[in-house]
Amino acid sequence: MNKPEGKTGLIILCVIVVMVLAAALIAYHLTGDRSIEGRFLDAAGIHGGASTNDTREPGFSLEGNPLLYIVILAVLGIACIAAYRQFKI
Amino acid sequence: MAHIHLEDGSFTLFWVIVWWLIALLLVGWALWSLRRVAHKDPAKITIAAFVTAASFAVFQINIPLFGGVHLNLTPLIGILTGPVLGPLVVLVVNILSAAIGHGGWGLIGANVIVNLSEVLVAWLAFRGLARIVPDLFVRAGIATFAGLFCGNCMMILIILISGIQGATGTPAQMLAGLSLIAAVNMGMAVIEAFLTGMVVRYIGKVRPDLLGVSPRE
Repeated sequence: MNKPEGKTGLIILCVIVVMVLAAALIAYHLTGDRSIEGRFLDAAGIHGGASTNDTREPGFSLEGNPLLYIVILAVLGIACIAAYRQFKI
Repeated sequence: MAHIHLEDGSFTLFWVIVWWLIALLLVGWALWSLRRVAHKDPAKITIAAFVTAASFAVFQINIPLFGGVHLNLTPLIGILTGPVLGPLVVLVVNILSAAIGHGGWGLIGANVIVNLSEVLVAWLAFRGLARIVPDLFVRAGIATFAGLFCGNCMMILIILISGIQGATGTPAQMLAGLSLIAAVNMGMAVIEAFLTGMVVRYIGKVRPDLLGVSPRE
């Protein structure tokens, strides 16, 4: 690997990370602590939305139905095994 | 990562059909091209199955950062599966997500277009930067940022074109609000870029042929 070229790429990546994090923190400060859905409703100007009724749980949580999530993930796992047996990698 | 988090009925029926038709056209083109790719490299189908499962699994997890965001690994899908299998993976993940209640059925078309832009731009950036940025981690990271930035721009564009039923804000206010959402989303892109970079670097070490790169890269 060419050293100067490698460093150039890393510098570009670091600059992007710093800029993106700064923009995200400013945007977070401006919008407040909202869920994704709440932010969308606020952006659209839909009243009575999540800004007044944000019922998300703290910490990591699952979107949608947890039982269906597990069932679909199991089916996808079986599909992965079938694809691996059929086509290999 | 960029995803239109609105319920069914947010877009008018006209725009639901328009975005669905565009998405189906793109996926149709991918299916038509698949015959050629599947014959040449059947292992890509296995990789597509794995990234579909991984993307679906992480996409449903709400991460408590910046008030709540999630990953969806679309740049990794683009880098590993390319522009032919990528659209199919994105369609399947969006349909399965809607099936469990994450996103509206009517918005699948629009969300497929958003995610597809992430897949294609990340794939293009990863390939296009090969000479300028030889390091796989850095290149995948930059490709991830490029893809997710375009996905967020696409999301804003689609919402502004379609309009939202029941919205009281002007287009300018909506643009300002959506830009803030995009900025928050991009904060999550830092984690997604790191993850994608790590995975791509690891695959580059153990199976560089899967990335189409030479082992010394």
